[in-house]
Amino acid sequence: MSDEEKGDANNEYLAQIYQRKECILWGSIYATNLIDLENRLAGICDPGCTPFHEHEMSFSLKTTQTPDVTLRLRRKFHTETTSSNQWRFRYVGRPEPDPNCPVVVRKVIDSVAHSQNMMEFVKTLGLRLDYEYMAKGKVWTCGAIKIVVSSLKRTKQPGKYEVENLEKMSDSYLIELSVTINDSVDYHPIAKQLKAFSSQLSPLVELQKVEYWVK
Amino acid sequence: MAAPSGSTVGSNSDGPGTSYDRGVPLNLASYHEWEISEIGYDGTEKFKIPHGYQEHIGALARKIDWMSLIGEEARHDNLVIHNEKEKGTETAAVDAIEETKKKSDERTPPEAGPWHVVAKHLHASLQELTVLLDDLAILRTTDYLKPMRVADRLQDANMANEVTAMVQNSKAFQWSSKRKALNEAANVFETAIKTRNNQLGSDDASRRNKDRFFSELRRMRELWRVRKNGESIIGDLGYKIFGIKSDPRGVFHITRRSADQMKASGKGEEELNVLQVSVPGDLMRQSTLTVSIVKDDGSITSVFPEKADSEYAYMEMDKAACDGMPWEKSLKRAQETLICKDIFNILFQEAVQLRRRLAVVKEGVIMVSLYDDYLLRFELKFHPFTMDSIPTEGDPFLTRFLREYHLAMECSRPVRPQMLIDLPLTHLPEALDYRGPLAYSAQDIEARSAKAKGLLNRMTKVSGHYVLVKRTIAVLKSHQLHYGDPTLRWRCIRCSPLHSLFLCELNNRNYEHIAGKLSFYVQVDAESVEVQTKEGTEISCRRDEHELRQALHLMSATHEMISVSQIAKQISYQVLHANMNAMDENGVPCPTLYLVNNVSTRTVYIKFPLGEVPQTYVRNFIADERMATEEEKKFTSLNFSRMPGRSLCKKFDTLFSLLKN
Repeated sequence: MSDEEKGDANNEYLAQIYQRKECILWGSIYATNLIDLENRLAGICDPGCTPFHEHEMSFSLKTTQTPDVTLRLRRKFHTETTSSNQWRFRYVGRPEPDPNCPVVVRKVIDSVAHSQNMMEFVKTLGLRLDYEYMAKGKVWTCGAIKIVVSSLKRTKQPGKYEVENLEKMSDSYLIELSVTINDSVDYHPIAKQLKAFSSQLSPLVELQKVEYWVK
Repeated sequence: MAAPSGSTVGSNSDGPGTSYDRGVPLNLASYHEWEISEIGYDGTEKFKIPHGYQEHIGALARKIDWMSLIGEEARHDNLVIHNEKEKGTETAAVDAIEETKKKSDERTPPEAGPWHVVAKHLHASLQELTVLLDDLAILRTTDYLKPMRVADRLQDANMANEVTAMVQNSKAFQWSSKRKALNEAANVFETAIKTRNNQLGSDDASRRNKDRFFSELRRMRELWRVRKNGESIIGDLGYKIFGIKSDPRGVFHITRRSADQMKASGKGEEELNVLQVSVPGDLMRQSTLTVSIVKDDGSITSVFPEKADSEYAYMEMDKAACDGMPWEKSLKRAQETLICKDIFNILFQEAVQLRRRLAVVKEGVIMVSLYDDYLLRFELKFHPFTMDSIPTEGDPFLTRFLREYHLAMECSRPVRPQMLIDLPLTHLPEALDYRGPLAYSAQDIEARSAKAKGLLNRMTKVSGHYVLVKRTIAVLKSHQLHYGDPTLRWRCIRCSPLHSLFLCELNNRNYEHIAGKLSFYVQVDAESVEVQTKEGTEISCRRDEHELRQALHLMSATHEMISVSQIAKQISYQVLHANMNAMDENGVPCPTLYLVNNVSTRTVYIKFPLGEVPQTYVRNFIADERMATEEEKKFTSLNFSRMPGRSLCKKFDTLFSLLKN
C-alpha cells in the first residue's frame, strides 16, 4: 500500500470517527412531572445517570453570497477546573428529506478543542454570536440510545453568567432521544428502534419528529 | 323581564324575618321562557306560543316513515281496492285479532331474573341520591332552604311553651340528641359492613384463591420482570441490565392455576402455588457449566469421554412435572440454563477466533490448551428438569470464577457519555477524553484504549495462574516439611486472579540475633514462577517444580553460608573467602566458605551443596603452600551428623569454639 493510499485509509477512518449520522427525536415535559419521567427512565434505562451543566453558543459566519455557516460551541458551565477550557465544536447538517423515516436524521461533525481564549479565536474567524443558552440536566443511556433531559436558561445580559442574571426559558424540560451511527450505516432500523423506545415514554412525553426546516 | 307564565305566591313587600311574617316565602318561576317571535316598534314583545300536546303529537307523527312500516304493497290511499282485496281474508283477520286478545289476556308478567332485587335497590338509591343532590344544590345556591343541626337551638323567642324551650336549649338535651343521631348513623354503617361481609364470605374459597394469586404475583414482580401484554401476563428470564433488557428467548407465560387443577394435583392448597408458569421448551432443563483442568495423556477418552444414555434423559420433557414445580424453583433453573448457554456461546465464539492456542469443540465440551500437557476443559451438561439438586463437578474455584467474570462483564457499562454530553457515546476510557486537547497520537490512543480481553482469554490466564499457585504452595509446604534448618516461613502478600506474590523468610532458631534472616519473594503469574531476592536477582523457574525446589535450596544454602560466616566472625575467625556463586563438579550451584581461626592455626573449608547437609573440612593452617607436604595439605572431613549440637548454627558454633586455639 502506497503512502497516498495509507493516507486515504487514515482519512476515511477519521471521517468515520468524526462524521456521524444522528437520529434524534424531541419532546418536552413540565417540571412538575419530571419526577415521573425520571422514575420511568430509571426503570427502562441503564443503571445510573450523569448530571451535567453546560453552556452552548451558536455562531454564524454571515456572507452575502453563500448561506450562513453555523457552528455550535459548548463547554462545561461554571466549573473552575481545566475542563471548562475544553470546547466542543459541532456542525449540524441539513436533515435527510425522508418523509417515511419516523425520526430526524442529520449529519453531525464533532470535534473537541482546548483554549483559554476561545472567544478571541472565534472572533478572528469572523463568526458572530446568534444565541446562547445554558443547559442543566441529566443524561441516561439505554444501549446506544442517549436520553438527555435538560432545562434551558438564558442570560439577561450577554456576557454575564452570574446566577442572578440567568432566567429560565420555560417551565418545561427538553427531552432529547438520540442515537449516533456511522455515516455509511443504514439508518432505517435504528430510526425504528428509536421510535419504538420513545413509545415507552408515552404518555409522559410524546416525542415527535420536529420538521424544523420546513418554513 | 318577567316570565309570562311565572307568578309570585305569598310574597311580602316587607320581606322575611319580620315579626308578623308567619308564612313561608316561596317564589315560583318557570324554568323555561317563551321564545320571542318579534318585538314591535312600540317595544311590545310577541311570544311564540308553544305547541300543545296534540300539536306536538302531530308533529312527531309526521316524522314517521309509514311506508317502511306497512310495506310498499299496502294501499291505504285507495280503500275500495284495498277492501276488495282484503274481503276474503276478513274472517281470518278477525279470528287472528281474537286470538291475540286471548293471548294478551293470558300473558304472564315476565320473569324478573336474579338481578331484579339489585336493580330495584339501585334504582331506589339513585332516586335518593338525586333528591339529596337537588337538596344540596338548592342549599348551596339559594336561600330557600337552610340546614339545621341535630337539636338545634331554637331562636324564636316567642315560643309558646317557655319550659320546652329551656329544656331544648339545655346542654344535656343537646348531647343526648346528638348521641342518638350519631348512633343511628353508626347503625347504618354497621349494617352495611355486616351485609358486605356476608356477601364476601359466601364465596370464601374463590376469594382466597384470588388474594393468593395477587400476593404471589406481587412476590414474583419483586424477583422477575413481569408485564401485562393484552389479556395475558408474561415474564422475562433475561438478566441483562445494560441495553435492551427483555430477552425474547426467556419469555414465560404466567397463568392462574384453576381450582380443578389444584384438586387434581392431590396437594393441599397451601403446598401448591396459585401461579403457574410455562417456561420455554429449550430452557426446560437443568444445566451445569463446569471448568476443570485435565492432563492430556494422549488418549481421546480422557479428554472426550463417551456419554452414557442416561445423560440424554433431559431431552424427554415432562410438561406435567414442570407445571407441578413451584415457580420459584422452575424459573431459577430455567434462568440458570439460559445463563449457562450464554456463557458457553461466548466461549465458543472466542474459541473459534483464538490465536496461538489450540481449541477443540465437541458436543458441549470446549478444550483449550493451557501449557505443557495441560488442557482447560469447559463442559456444558444438561440434566432433567426436576426438583433434585445436581452434584457439582469440576474445579469449584474456576467454575465460580467463570460465573463471576461473566457477571462482571454484564455489570460493566459498555458505553458512556463523554465529558460533554452532546458528543457521541464512547467505549473509550475517561483518560482518553482529553486525547484531542492533549494531542495524543494515534499510537498513544491505541495503547491507552482498554480492549476487551474476552472471557476465554481471561479464563486461560486465570487457570494457568491457578495451577502454578497450587504448585508453588505444594513446593513451599514440601520444603517446609523436609528441611527444618534453616526454617522456612512464607505467607502470601498479594493475591489476585492473575498475579500472586509470596514472601519467604529463612531463619535459624536461637541464632536470629547473630545470623539474622534472609527474605526473598516468589512471584507467580499466569505462565511462570520467579524467585526474587532483595538484592534484585531474579531466578526464573518457569513452570518447573524442580527448578523452584532448586531455587529454594540455593536460597537456603546462601543463608546457611551467611549464618556460618557471621558465627565465625563472632568468635574472631577470619573469612578468607565466601563464594555464593561457586559451583560443584556437575555445574550445580554450591556456595563455599573458607575460614581461619584468630591465631592462624586451623583453617575450615565448608561447602553448602543444595538440598544436602554442609560438608566441612579442617586442616592446619599452612603459611606457605609451596613448603607444605601433600599430607599437610590434606583436609580432614568432618561428619556433620556427628558434630555436637542439634542445629546447624550450634554445630558450627561448637566447632569454631573447639578450634579457636
